[in-house]
Amino acid sequence: MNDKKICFITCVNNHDFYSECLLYIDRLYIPEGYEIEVLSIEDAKSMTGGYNEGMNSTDAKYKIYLHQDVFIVDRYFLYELLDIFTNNTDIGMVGIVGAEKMSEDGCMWNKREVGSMYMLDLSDTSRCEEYTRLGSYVCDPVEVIDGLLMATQYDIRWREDIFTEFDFYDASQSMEFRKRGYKVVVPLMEKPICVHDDGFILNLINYDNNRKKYLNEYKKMLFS
Amino acid sequence: MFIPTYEEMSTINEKALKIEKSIESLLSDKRDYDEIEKILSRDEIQEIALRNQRIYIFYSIFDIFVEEKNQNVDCTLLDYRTIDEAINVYKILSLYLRRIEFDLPEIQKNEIISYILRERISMVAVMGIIKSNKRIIQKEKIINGLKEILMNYSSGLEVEEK
Repeated sequence: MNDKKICFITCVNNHDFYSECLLYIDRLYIPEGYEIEVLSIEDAKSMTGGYNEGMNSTDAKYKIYLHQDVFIVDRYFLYELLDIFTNNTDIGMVGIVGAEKMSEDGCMWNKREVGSMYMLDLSDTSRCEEYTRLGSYVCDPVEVIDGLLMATQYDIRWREDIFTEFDFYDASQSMEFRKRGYKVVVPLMEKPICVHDDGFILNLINYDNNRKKYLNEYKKMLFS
Repeated sequence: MFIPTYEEMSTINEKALKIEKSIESLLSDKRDYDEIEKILSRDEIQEIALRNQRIYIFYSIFDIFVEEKNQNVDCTLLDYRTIDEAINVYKILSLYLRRIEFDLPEIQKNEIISYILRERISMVAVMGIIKSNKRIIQKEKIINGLKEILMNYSSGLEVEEK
């Protein structure tokens, strides 16, 4: 494992957005002694499968799983991320937006309340929302983080045995890290690190099926 | 802040898809803009626009279309395009505008000119997108940056002509 390497892993199906995403990765300031790698996974059958493929394709210790429509506007992001990981070996995963406590129905968007980024307000698309973080810790431990950006310093297999589409990979992986005793955190951010041009989930049949799988798999952890 | 449940979101998205289909058929059959305007002015549709990004964007595109007509500009954003195509132009142009907002290198910022020319987008439409896109935060910065790019482009053309 190369502990001086950071790899960006993205499942891609829209090259207009992905090539734009790369422009922003390209302008990030890279800490001295480190190198970055960029991997795109085309035609992934599932997010978990795509991310496992990416994870196994690189020797980078630090991995940033990134949506193709996320644009990292904070050029010092890698400095901030490495500062968290190198000084906190108990932190396994870092996100940008998360929930301190997952909602009882398993829907993260009901409870995302920690973090900061520019994205559309889900309840009113005419508003751009900036989540504000709660608490006063440098790194808020959370129960789950949103999949738009998930950075890790340890490798844990994504659950493609259970989550075979493009939903709940993020909530699941948050639980997998916590199951193994690692913290999942959202760092303190004075201003948004990224812009996320997400659309809304149109295929909610899959979403609901995966929500039930998630609740079934992690019910002991969630409701104990 | 109202947060829809996933069931509510599912209902909203189903309705949004139906609205899109009816507007699409009006666009493809006879480009019946008056009828589209009637659909968009219904309260129920406006409510859905607050909850569904595609319908919100289409609203913005239609507003731009009306403004282009008011200013006697040859309609560009909506004409000869499907909803998908129009929304795609809106989104791609927004990406180019964001390059100005976040100070990407000159060469990348300047690519907006060739996109505008290639897609035949009016400045009315460009300003309309800046105004309506809620993910464009520093609007004034973008407008000033765009002015500079356009001035440099015009100067370059004048030099070429000489």
